Amino acid sequence: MSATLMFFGAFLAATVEMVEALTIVLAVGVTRGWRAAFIGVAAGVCALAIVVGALGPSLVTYVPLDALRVVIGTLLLIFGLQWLRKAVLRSSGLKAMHDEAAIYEREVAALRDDYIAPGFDWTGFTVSFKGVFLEGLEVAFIVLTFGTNDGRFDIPILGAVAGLVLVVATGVLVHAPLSRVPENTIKWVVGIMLSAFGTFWVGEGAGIDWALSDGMILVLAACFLVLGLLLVRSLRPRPEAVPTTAGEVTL
Amino acid sequence: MKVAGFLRDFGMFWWDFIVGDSLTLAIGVLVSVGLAFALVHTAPSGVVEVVLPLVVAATLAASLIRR
Repeated sequence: MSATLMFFGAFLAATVEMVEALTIVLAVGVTRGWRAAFIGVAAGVCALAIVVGALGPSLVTYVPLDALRVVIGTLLLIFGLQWLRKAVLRSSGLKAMHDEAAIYEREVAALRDDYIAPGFDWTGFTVSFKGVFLEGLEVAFIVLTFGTNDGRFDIPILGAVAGLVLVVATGVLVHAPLSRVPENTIKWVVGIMLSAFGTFWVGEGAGIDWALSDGMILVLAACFLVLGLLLVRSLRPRPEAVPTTAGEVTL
Repeated sequence: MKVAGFLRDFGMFWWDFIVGDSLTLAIGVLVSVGLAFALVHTAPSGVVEVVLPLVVAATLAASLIRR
């Protein structure tokens, strides 16, 4: 598989998920203090590193490649279609765009109401840890699936770390939730990529000899893009029927 | 009781992680995988290459219609 595609897949997935994690960490830091927030982040990142480090090499060594392709293809397909589904619903106006500013305000309000006990703030730590770990787990799975299929983890890890660094650096500079990140556009791209890779790998694992070899991934991606756009068009609510005079309706 | 609570939370986490907002999507993906295995050795050459992406596409469409 192309190293560039693998890098950007992990990079974009990490960017989206880390924007969500940053929103939670900022809310914890502002309301409960930065110490618990930062320790929660460090613990979350360590837990993620352990998941990737422990599972990655053992998967490659002990599980047959075709079985691995089917399992990781299925996971990628589920994640990819979930992302694409959300992107289609948002683009068609049936679901609100992901508004990080609103989520931030909600988190801050919830955390402010909570009592802060003297000593270490376990609530702040737990919220921060869960935010980083749970949002990062999806990225960890994507890194694992890309890495296991290709037999090397450096490129997807590099992509995910680049996404993480970009989001953290921007968060430090802006010091506010990153509400301007075009999250839905990224969801489109990642959703299409993961769905295409997932379909391809499930097929390979099942024994399909794809006509265009790896080139089929691009064909599948193009098909998912067209399908997504058609679905947006068909799902977009039509303008309300406006009554003009009694019994007459314009559309 | 604590163990039961932990197991329930653990199960809910994985359910949420895999199924997410759409059960249709998760079931459709599993059906696609099963179909790929069923057809790859039985159907004429090239059929499964077309059927698999079509079933995946139908899964996405169905999950949006049944939202």
